[in-house]
Amino acid sequence: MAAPAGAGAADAAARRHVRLFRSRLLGIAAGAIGMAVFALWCTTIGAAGLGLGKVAAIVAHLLGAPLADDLKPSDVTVVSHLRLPRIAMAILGGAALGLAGTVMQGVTRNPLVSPYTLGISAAAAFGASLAIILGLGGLAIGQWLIVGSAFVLALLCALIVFGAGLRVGTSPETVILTGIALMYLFMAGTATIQFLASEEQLASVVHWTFGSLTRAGWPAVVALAAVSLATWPLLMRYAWPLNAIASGGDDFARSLGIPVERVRFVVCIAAVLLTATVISFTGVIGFVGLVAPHMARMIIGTDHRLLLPFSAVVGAWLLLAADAAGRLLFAPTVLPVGITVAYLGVPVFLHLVMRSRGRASA
Amino acid sequence: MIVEAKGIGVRRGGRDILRDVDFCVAPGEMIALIGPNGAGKSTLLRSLNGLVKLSDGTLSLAGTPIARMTRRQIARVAAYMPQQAGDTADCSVAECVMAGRLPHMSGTDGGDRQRVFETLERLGLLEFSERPLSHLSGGERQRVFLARALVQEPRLLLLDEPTSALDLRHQLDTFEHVAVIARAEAVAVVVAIHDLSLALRYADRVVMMSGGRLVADGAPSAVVTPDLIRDTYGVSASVGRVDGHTVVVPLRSMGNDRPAGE
Repeated sequence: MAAPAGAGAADAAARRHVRLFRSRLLGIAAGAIGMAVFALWCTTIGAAGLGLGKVAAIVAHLLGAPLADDLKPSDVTVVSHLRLPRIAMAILGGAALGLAGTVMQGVTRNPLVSPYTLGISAAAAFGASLAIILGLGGLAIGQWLIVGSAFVLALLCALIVFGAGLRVGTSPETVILTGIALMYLFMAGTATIQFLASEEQLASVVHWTFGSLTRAGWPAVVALAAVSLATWPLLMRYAWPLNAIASGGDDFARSLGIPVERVRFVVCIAAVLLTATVISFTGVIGFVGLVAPHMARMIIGTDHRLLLPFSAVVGAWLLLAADAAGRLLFAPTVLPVGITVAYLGVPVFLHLVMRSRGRASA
Repeated sequence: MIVEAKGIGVRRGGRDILRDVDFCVAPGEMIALIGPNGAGKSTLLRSLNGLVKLSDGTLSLAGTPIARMTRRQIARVAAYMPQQAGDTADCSVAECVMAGRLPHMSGTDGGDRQRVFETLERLGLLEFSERPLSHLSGGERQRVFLARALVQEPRLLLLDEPTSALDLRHQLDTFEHVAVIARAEAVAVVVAIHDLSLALRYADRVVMMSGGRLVADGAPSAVVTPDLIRDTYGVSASVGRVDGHTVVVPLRSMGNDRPAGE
């Protein structure tokens, strides 16, 4: 298309740019609303046979209304202790993993980076396994000790990865190579524990590594919500610096006045906190942090002002849909979301890859 | 003076990359930085906006010592266009150029956007504005990065090989464009360049470097001479006039008979 001549061409292009930005903003809103509707429907999935009307009545009851006659107290427990925290965890956890993946890929300028490839998930799994084999799981506060151990190891891994990166000037390559090396180290550690563990411990170690929303109760949701509240606004403030780093590299961003090292440091800390909080409650969920950012990018474009919120929406969708599928496919057996998310996400992802490659060569 | 450098040096790994360089730039001046590969042109450019730490000497930008300036303050004075950037860029053309407004930005206002799209139009990039940067050719990308440096509204424009990927027409267009802006808005331009004929044609002053030192600094006709070209490049060349322009014709490499300092 030839640019039309005259002084109006720049104006027209600027207006087109604004329209595009607004339509993408609307797209994000639509995605978020769609997800909320889907989440509502998800409250009706389960063995207890509670439809939307009954769930609504129960939620009303939880908020203070008297209990309707056709509802049993056990129904109330099913909704308040099983379904709602599970759905809240799917939304917050998926959003956190998607967001963390996007900022990590952004600051390292590497599309293969995710909490998983940086070894953080493997470290969390090692921490959980360690707690399990030491018999901490049997104690009264055992579940919390496992979560805590996973969290601490995840942070430790991140500290080493980014510490090594900072030492030699935060080169993205160093960060990635250190992460992959640590991933293998922690996987070996977990394998060693599995080798030495008793049958019963082995079962619970393996079960932890599957990644499931079943373990997540309200305390997990509250903890994740607190971390999200603290980190999301911070990450959104770095949208423009992330754009600058993505568009031309570190020197480019520096020459625009951006303190690249500080941005990378702050953003990575926030991303690691989000990731560590999610996976220490759920276990390993590998796929979302890697792929949600790519899906979001292919749909909404590369501007981090839009990409950050949208990758959170996509991540939440992925985890929510994968969990619903895991509960429906072999009902009443519940497949862990760490497994189903790949079954569900890979076809969607491959479709998007094919479509965008086709468009690029056209 | 926009740039005042006295005795600056850059040392890395025990090796002097830049040694005892005195270098001044006046507003509106267009300076070509020439010299063989590894002469220190890029390092000098990068040190002028604080991307490279100085080991020796003092450097002031627009009267302020650079050591006392924040990155943002530097970015409001100097814009930098690196060599061969953006092959891994992940953004659209409009986003890339808009990022050039960052040093002045406190939220994106309409005036910023206007300036961005006007600059894109002037550089013939309007039709690409919403395309991914990675889908553009190397030459188109170079023009995008020039656009970005221009919307930064610098008083000092540092260009590292800005025309290396451009065809003949776009080489001329780019230099014409930069020359017009340099004159109209008193923007000083320091451009590292290999094409000696282009340097002669557009520069007010030519600075020749070799082995991390300045070997000559002055009027184009005084610096780009067969003698100096032989001494610094190890190439015998003839300098003559064609259609009112001075051109350099390299004749032959002097082979292993290398000049000192290489």
